[in-house]
Amino acid sequence: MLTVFWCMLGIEFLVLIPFLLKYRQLDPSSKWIFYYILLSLLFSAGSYLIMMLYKNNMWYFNLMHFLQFVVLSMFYMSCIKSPKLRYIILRLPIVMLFVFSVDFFRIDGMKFYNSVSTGLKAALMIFYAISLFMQQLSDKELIEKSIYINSLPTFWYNSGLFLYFCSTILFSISLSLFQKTQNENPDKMVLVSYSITYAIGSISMILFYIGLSKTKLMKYADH
Amino acid sequence: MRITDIIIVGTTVMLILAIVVILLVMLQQKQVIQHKLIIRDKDLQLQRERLEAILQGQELERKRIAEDLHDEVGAQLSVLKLTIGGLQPLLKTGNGETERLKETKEFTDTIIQQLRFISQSLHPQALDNLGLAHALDSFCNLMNKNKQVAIHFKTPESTIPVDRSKALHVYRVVQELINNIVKHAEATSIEITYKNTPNLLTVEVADNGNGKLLDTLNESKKKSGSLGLKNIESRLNIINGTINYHKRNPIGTVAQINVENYQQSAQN
Repeated sequence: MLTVFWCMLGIEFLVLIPFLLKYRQLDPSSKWIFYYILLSLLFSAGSYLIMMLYKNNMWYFNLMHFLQFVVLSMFYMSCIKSPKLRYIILRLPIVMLFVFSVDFFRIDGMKFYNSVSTGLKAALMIFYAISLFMQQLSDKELIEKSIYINSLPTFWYNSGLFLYFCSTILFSISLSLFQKTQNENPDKMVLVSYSITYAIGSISMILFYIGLSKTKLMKYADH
Repeated sequence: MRITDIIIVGTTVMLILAIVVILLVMLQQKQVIQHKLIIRDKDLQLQRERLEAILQGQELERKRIAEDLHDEVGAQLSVLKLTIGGLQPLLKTGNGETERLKETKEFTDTIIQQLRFISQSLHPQALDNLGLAHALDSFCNLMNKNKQVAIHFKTPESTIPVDRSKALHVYRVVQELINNIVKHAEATSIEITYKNTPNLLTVEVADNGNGKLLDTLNESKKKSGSLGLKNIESRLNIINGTINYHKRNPIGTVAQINVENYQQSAQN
């Protein structure tokens, strides 16, 4: 389990290096992905440290999930063109702050994984990702200029996020339930959950790197 | 089945679905672009065919006018010249009528020459009968009679026959280039070099002018109504030919026309 964790941390760190080296040439969407990777690195390293020190790191998990939601909302703000959707994306972090707070203090509590808010976050991210896919599919400018969607960095960033949230949404929804109930073996569930999260997270990081590699070749940025 | 297993299976299904969605998005957009490219290619082909038809119609009309001028007006002028020649011995007065008749005959000669030049420019008969190299040579000889500019034509001893349609386009391009040189370059000499290998036909038009032709060409490219240059480009585009312009040492400009696969096909 720990090996998978360190591998994931290593991949995050490796992907962060090229983003850091090219930071000045990055377009806004790539910069937000850079902040997301940085946050994920802090998330992983911080949660490990807190677990070693205090045994329970769930409050840190919940806090970082909210920060990730804000950063990813900003990423989608920089990519999505629809005014209505932009209006929603810009205001949803405030709503989500309320949801996260209620979940943190009232529903699941700070000692457990906040399934309600994290599940909602994953669902919203999937919705944003599909919206961006739809936008890129029907983008007349791309078709007119014969630009293939897979030559856009935003497509790869979005694919990474879509893949990650599609794979983790079920665990996000059910994890607090498993932590609280004694009927099932919660440790096994947590182990499986983290293993899949780390594995898919690593794949997402690779997709982010592919996206970054597309930024130097392309002249048209879809934002 | 335990809840853990259900969630693992559900997650796997979600993961597969996510991958399928990503792949479908990529494929769908690729198909749309490819479809668009096919339509664009068809449009271009249609435009090309239309242009070719227009130019073909233009050439047919030119040919008809050239033949009418040569066969009818030319023949009538020759009869007029002969008639004037026949009148000469009949004039016996010493009041200068003989000189005036001689002048009229010379004037008729000039008209016949000009008519030939116009007829030749409208449709080079030599192109049909003797091929591109001879037609260009003949055009150079005609231009040399104007004495505006001296044109030297260089050709290898043996030339490979050029496809009839391609030859006409190359001929027109050379004609247009020479017109441009006469109009803009203030050149005193033009050198046309004709080269051919089995796969490539090259015609080089070099002048000793002021070199402003390159600037004129660049300006013309920016303008929307530069008919001459567009004509050159359209004609070369039809025959998949290219043209390159560069400065000539020490003075002047060189235009190089290249046409690949220029030979007559077997069915022609």
